[in-house]
Amino acid sequence: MSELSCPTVVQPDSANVSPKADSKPHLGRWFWGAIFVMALISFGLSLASVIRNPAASHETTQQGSSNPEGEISAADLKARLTGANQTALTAIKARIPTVLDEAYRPVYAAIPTYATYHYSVWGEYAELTAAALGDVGGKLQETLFTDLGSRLDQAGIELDASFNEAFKDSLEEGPETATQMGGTVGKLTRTAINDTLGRMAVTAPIATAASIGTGVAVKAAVKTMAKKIAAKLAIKTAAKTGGKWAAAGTGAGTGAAMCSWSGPGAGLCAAVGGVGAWIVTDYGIVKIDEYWNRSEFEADLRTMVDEQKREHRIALERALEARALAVQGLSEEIVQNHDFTLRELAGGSNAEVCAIAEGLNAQYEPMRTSMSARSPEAIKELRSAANAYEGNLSLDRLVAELTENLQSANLISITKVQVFGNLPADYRADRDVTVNVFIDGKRYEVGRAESSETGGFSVSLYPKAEIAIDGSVTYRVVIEQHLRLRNKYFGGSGWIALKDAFSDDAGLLETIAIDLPISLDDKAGDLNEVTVAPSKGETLLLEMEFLAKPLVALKNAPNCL
Amino acid sequence: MIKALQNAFAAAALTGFSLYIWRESYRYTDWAILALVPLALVIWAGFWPLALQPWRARLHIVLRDESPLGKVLTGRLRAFALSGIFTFVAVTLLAWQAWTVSLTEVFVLVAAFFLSAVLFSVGQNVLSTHFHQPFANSISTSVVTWLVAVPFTLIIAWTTWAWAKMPGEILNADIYGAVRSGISGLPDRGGWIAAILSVPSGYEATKLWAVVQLRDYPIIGTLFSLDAALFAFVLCRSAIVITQFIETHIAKAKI
Repeated sequence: MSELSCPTVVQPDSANVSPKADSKPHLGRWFWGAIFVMALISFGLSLASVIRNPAASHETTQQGSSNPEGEISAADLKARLTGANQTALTAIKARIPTVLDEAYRPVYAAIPTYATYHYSVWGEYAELTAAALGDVGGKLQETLFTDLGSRLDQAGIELDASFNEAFKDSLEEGPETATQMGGTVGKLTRTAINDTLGRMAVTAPIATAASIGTGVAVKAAVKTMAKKIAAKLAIKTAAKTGGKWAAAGTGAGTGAAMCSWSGPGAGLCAAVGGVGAWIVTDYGIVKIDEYWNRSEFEADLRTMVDEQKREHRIALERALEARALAVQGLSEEIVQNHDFTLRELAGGSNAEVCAIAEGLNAQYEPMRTSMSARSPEAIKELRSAANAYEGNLSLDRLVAELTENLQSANLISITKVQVFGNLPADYRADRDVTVNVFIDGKRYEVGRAESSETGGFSVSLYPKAEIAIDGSVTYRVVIEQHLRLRNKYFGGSGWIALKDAFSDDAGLLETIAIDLPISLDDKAGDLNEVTVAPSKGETLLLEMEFLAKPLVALKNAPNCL
Repeated sequence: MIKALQNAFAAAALTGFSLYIWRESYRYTDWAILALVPLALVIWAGFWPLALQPWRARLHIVLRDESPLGKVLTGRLRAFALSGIFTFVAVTLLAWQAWTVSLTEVFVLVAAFFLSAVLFSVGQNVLSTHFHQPFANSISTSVVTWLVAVPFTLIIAWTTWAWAKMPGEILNADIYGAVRSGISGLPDRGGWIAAILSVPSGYEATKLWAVVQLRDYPIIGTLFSLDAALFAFVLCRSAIVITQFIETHIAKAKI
C-alpha cells in the first residue's frame, strides 16, 4: 500500500496524462487471486446454506421480535403458524388409531356372524355358488363391511374438524401474554390469523383425500379377502367331495335295496336316499370342519381385517401429512403478506380506502338482493372498479372476495315453468293431454294431465336450467290430446330476450308470463313430429320463474370504524 | 468498450463476492468482517488518487515552485483523511445494505453499479480528449455519479416504495419499539460490528416509524423512499472508485 499511497505527481498542463501505471507493481495476480478465492468461498457458503436449511436463508425484511402493541412480526407469525400446524399434526395423528378402532368395531363384531354362515350347509353352498359366479365377496361385504365406507368418511370429517380445532387452539394459546392470539393482538395480526383459520378449514381436507373412506378402498379389501376365502373353499371342497360321493353312493345303494319293493319307482327312491345321505354327510363334515377350524378361520378373517385397517391408517396418516403440508404452504403465503410495503401503507386504512371500500360495497349490495341490478354492464363496471385495487394492502382481500362472488352473479336459473290454458276452440274436449316443453332445445316431459273442455289444463315442470342474465331463452310446447280413436297433436314456440325483461323492483325471483300461440299439427303422428310454430291464434299462458343465486355479504371490507 | 465491460465486470465481481461472503457469514461470526477487507483496501486505494491528484494539480498552480510550503502542503494528509472517511462510510453502508437487501433490490443495485463502472471508463476516455488529467478523471467521476445515481435514486425509491417489505409489527409500535425492531434484525450476539450497524438500522427504523405514524400523508412515505435511495450515490461513487483502481493497478489502462 505504501506504493499506492505515493502516486505520481501529475503535470496539470500535460495533456492525456495518466498515473504511470507501468511503474507500479502489477497487482493483477493478487486481485484475480482474491476474486477467485472469494468466488470459491461464496460457492461453499451457498452450498452450506442450502444443505443446512433451504428455508433458513436470510430474511429480506427488517424483522424483529419486539412487540409493544400486540402486532407480531412476520417471523413470529410464521413460527406461530408452523408451531400450530405441527401441534395439530401430532395430536391428530395420535387420534387416528382410536378413530379407526371405532370405525372398524362393527367389522370385528360381525366376524363370528360370518363364520357361522360359512360353517353352515346353506352358507357353504351359497359360497360355492358365489365362487362359481365369481362373487364370494358379496356376502362378506354385506356382513362385515356394510357402512364401513361411510364410517370412514365420517372419521375423515372428524379428523378434519379435530385438526382445525387443534390448530386454532394452539394458535390462540400463545405462550406470551402480550402476543396471545386470543388476547390483544394487533389488527394486522388478527386479520392474518383469521385469514389463516378461514382458509385452513378448506385446505386439502382429509375427508376428501382419495382412497380413504371411499367405496373403492373397501371393495378392494373385500376382493382380497374373498380371494383368500375362495381359495380355502376350493381346498376344503376337493377334500370333502370324495367322501361325500362315497356316502352318497352307499346311500343310493342302500336306498335301492330298501326301495326294491316299489318296482318301477325304485330308481327314484334310491336317488332320494342318495341325496339325503349326501346332505346328512355334508352337514356332518361341515360341523366337524367347524369344530376343528372355526377359530382359525375367524383368526384369519381378523388378520385380514387388521391388514386392511393398517392400510387405512397409513392412508389417513398420509392424507393428514398432506394436509399439514398444504397448511404450511398456506401459512407461508399469509406470512409473506403479513409484512407491508409503503405503497400499501399509503392506501391503508385511511379515509380514502374506506371511501373506496364503501363505494364498492354500495355497487355490490343491490346485486345481492335484486336481479335487475345485475345487468352485465353493472357487473362489468364493478369488476373493473375492484380490479383497480388489486394488490392494495387494505383492499386486496375485498377485491378477491368480490371477484369470487361476481363469478356467479350473471347466472340465473329457470326454476319453474307452468303452462296454462286450453286447446284451440274446435278441439277442446274432456280428454287428457300430455305436454312436453323444450327450453333452449332441451326436452322436459310432463306426465299425462287432465284437461277439460271448459277449464283446459295446467301443468308445471322444474327444469333448473342455467342461463346468462343477459341471454335469451327459446321455448317450445308440444301437446298430445288423448282421444279414443286417433290422438291429435298441437304445438307452438317462441323466444324471449332477458335483457331488460325483469322489472326494476324485482328481488331474486321473478316470473315472466308469455302468451304462446298454438295450433293443430295434423301431420304429426307423435309428439316428436310436431313442428308447427304459429305466430297467432289461440294462445296458452307460459309462465317462467327465474331465480338468481343470492350473493353473500362482503366479509373482507377494511375496518373503517 | 470491451475493456470497459471487463473492468466493470471485475469491479462487480470483487464487490459482489466480498459483500456476499460478508452477508452469509456475519450471521455466524464477526470474523465476517474479513470479507470486507479486500473491498475496503480497493476502495481506499481507488479513492486516494481521486482525492490527491486534483489537489496537487491545484497546488501546482497556486504555489510557487520555490515556496517551502510545497514540502508541507503535499495534500497527502487531506487525501488520507478523505479516503479514510469515504472508505469507512462506503464500506459500512454497503455492508449494511448487503445485510438487509432483498433480491429485487439486488438486481437494481447491481445494474446501477455496473452501469456506473462502464460509464466511468467510457466517460473518462471521452473527457480526456477535452480536459487535462487529473481533471478529466475527477470530472468523469462527478458526471457519471450524477448521471447514474439520479435515475437510479428514483428507481430505487420506487422499488422501496412499491416492493420492499416492511415488518408488520412496526404498525403499532412506539418509537422505542420501532428502534428495537430495527436493530433486532442484527445478530443477537451483539459485538462492535452490530454496534456500528445498529446506527443505520435504528435510523432507518425510526424513519419508518415516522412514516407509519404519518400514514395519512403519502408524501412522507415517498420522502422516506427517496431518502433510502440516496444510497445510490454512495454505490455509484464506490463503483467508480473501484473501477479507477482496476484501471490503474490491474488493467494498466492508458487513458
